Amino acid sequence: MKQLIVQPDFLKLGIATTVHYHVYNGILFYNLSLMFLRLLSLCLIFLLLLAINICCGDVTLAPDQILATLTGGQGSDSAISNIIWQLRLPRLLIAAIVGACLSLAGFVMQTISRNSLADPYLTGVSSGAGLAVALAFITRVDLAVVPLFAFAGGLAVSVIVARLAQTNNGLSVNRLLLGGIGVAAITGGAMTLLLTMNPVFSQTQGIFFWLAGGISGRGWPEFWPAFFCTIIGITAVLILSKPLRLLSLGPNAAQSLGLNVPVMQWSLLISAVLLCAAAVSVSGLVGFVGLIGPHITRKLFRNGERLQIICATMIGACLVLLSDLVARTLYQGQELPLGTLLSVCGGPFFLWLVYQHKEQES
Amino acid sequence: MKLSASNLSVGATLTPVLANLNLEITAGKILVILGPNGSGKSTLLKTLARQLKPLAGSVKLDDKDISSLPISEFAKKVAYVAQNIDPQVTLSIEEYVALGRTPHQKWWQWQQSEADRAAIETAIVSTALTELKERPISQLSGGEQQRAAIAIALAQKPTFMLLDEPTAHLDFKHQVELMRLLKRLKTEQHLGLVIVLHDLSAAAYLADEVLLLTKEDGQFLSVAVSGPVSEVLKESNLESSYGVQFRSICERGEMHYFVNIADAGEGKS
Repeated sequence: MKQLIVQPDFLKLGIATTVHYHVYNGILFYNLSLMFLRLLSLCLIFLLLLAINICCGDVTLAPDQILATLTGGQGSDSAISNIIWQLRLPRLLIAAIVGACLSLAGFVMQTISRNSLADPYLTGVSSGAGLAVALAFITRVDLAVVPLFAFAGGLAVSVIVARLAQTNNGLSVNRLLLGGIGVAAITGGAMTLLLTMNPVFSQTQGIFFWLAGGISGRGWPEFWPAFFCTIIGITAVLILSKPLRLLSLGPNAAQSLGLNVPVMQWSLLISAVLLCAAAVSVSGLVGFVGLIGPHITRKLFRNGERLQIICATMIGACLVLLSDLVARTLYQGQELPLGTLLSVCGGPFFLWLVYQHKEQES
Repeated sequence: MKLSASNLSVGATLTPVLANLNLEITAGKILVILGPNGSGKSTLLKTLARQLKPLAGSVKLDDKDISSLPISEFAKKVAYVAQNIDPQVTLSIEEYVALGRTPHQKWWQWQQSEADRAAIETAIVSTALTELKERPISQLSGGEQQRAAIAIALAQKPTFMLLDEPTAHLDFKHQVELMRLLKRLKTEQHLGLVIVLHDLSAAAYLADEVLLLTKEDGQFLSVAVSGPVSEVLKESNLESSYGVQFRSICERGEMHYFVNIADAGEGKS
């Protein structure tokens, strides 16, 4: 078997692809490297989930109907067109964005903290968003403005937590995570107090369902701002991919190699917070994607930060697309809250993860 | 080119462990820092490496205060070899050593230039890691990781290299190889080395100048004695610093130092 190594970088993503080929009976056989195959499979799964999400729901649409509606050919129906364009498409795109943002934010947080149990919410985004949303409902603002409140609240509290974590030598990511846990405890308690003591039941219900996490009723107006933030966030992290690799060696080692550690830590943190806040503002608190997505990414793709970044976004998107599919179709006519569904399924996985972590420690 | 400290006070916390220190390291010379545990050797090295801020005084590179230099400029001149690599690192040796070129590249740059590739290759060959190039760091033994840490510092192509107990995890063969490599770096590549060592014989072999730190009982501050090997590494100095009795022997032009392990009262039965 002859070997041809395609160097330096295939698609400049950090995968050196090894293509083995041999000629048998005059036919050329290729044996692509594992990483490339995995990337390809991931793309296929992603596209498949997109397709299934369009088809399934309260009304099951056949693929040929969908194709006809999308291309505007014969067999298209205005009712079906409405379902696809106004309901399904924005919703599944939002699901993909939420998953991508949370997973990538988690990946960045876990890499810079060198702690695989870090969750993007530990930066304080969920606490800030939750409080801001509660405030929004209580002060009876227009429902359309609630996402803005969530975004601003998430951003504000994370910056406060990050400033508290600042030491003489730069950002202490450990202190950041601990600070995030502390803030989450405080706001969690405050929120519960608020919810139980609020006499206006509709407000309480509104806050509760918003926090439970879900993307029902989200349409194009919610999609565009979140999409904009997502693109900025992903681009920022891709540009910062080299500093990300350096920071994975630890802040001291990174500094001795000439990296401006405080500036890079802050930049990556702000990117992660931006991504997370964008997701939370549109979907409420959807848990575990930020924890699980990066883990699956690292297990499948050992190295190459740029590749890992792209795959983390795709894996996150697939996870939420899958969960949203289940949330919509498990019980006919009723929709399960997305965040709760992910927590119920993510909980056992998280326990298994901790067990794994402990095994490696000893 | 010289790296100097003037009236330097160092400490890991706000309490100084060394004060009013004056040092000068020139390129092409080796300074070895010796002393018992807790005397401030690593703290001093880290302050010279800009990992810690001086409590008083300053560290200067060619009369420019190092804290005023941009961090990448400093990293082009001074390389710090830490004692260990983070165990969670999953990079292969080649990828890891390639990160040593960071000070010479733009911060977003992944592309390696010809000069980068050459420097990486030289660094890997000098530390005898060519066969292990593809292996992930986490799968290496302690000694191999130590060599990888030196390789990444070599890839930086610095003028000064600061090493914190580089022989800590090495067996005899690799210790000898490393000592010879460090001496070659001094003579062939004209590097200035500052090395913290525990092994006195290695110190005698390598050092042009020695800094011996002594910790008095009940004192926070350590006392420093510096000078050439023959002056500083006298048995009396060593005993007051380390608290055990030493004997020195000159064998084939190399100085060796021995410690009596058995207590005076112990006898062979």
